[in-house]
Amino acid sequence: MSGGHGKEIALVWLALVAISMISVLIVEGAASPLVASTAAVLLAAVKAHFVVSHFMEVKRQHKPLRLILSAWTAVVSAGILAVVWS
Amino acid sequence: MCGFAFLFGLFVAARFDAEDLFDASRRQLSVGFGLANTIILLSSGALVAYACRLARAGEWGRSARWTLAAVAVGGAFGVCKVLEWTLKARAGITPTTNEYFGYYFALTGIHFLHYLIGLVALLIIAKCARSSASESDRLRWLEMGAAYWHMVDLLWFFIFALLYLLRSQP
Repeated sequence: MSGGHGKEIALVWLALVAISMISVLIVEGAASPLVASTAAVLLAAVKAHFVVSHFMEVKRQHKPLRLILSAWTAVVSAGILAVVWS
Repeated sequence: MCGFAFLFGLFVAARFDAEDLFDASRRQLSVGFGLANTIILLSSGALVAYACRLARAGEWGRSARWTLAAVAVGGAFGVCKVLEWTLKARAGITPTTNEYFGYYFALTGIHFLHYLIGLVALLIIAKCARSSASESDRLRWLEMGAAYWHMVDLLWFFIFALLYLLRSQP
């Protein structure tokens, strides 16, 4: 990859990989099941946001699509956590 | 996307009623496989995103090559997933083993179908990058294919979290 395009994508990729590894470390670590599960879901939502914003570039165009995907991510995450915390 | 949201809801509801079973079954999965597949799809998505930016800059030749690179990397997900299912089958674990594995094979199986469609779409789009179609048409196909591929990635983030990472015991 070269140039400004590649650099931004590479940095986002690095962040996504790091977040994925952190989520595994948290779950496999000493955190309580509730904390670990919450972290897993929230970090999945963070990754989804990064993909929508920086890979799909929905922040630059297609505002309705950005809203729909963001809403989907929020609803799915909230729904899962509501059951996990109940 | 809504279909998957519904399946996710069914899974967490079923997990609520059988936490011990779901947790014991989850421990039979390899988080390493899940993490590897996550990184593979992320990487493929990054390559597709780069291919899109190249296409918008008019660099269609390079865009086609990077799209093919995304296909090659994305192909590794399929290899890993089939290997994982094979290992499960050899261990005697099937969709009928218990409720958790019913959901495991359903979620990963349906996701795999979407993945295959996305992979084929990217291959076709890479081929069309150098066709005689108008630039706006080629860009629209690429962006649609890329958006679909990112959706496959997005869904996997939550499948990974639900199946491999949600635990109820220390």
